[in-house]
Amino acid sequence: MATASFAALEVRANASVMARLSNAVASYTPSGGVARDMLVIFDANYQEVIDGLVASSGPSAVCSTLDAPAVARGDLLTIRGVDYQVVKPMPDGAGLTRLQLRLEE
Amino acid sequence: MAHVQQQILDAVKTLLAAAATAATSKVFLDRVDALERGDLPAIVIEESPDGETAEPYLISGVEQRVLLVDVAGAVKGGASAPAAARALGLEIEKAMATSAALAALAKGGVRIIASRQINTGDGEEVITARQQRWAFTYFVRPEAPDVVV
Repeated sequence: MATASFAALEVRANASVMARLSNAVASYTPSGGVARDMLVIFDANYQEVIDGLVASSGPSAVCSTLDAPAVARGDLLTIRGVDYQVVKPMPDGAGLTRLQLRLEE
Repeated sequence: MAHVQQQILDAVKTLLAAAATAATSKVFLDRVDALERGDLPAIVIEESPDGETAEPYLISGVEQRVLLVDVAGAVKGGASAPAAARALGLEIEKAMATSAALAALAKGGVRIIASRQINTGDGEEVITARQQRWAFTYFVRPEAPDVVV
């Protein structure tokens, strides 16, 4: 019986995770590129910054690394009608990438 | 009459709310909850964690007290937010240093003793704050710390 490579299993597992757990479709526009849709797990947890002086949220989105292999700071994501800039892409090395987001200026 | 500590803090709030700074009337004293982003720009006033010191003037029976007050001007925005926070800090300094009302309470002097800038991009917007520490030196008799002398 042929067995799939670990990499192929990882791709299948990540695809399943994104298909079942994603909670938004993001319009992703690489710098100088064309917008395309991708599934994301969007999160905007409450947080306080500057020693608790100001309440804020920390928006981030997890996507499949295959959907945005060259994502970079400054790329644009529109999620639920809100425009964000990618501040920091953080690939986990296992096929998913967390994108720290900030409201577009 | 309120303790002179309270009189000073109230005077700082009244002064800064009327000072036509970028924070307009969003000046908060003893705020225990975090500011919302919609509140910004804003100024928060509170007694310093280092509190107040008291020293007796042995001959006159008058105490010299130094009340430390923290004043923070917070601003949101993009790349220009840090400069905007410093500009708000400048407005605060000018208002505080030239206030006759504060000088009348703190007859031993009103002076800024430290300031610092905090910039953060951790949230959904860049948020910055200019934090200043002020020292108010005033004199009271021990039995009447609500009356400046």
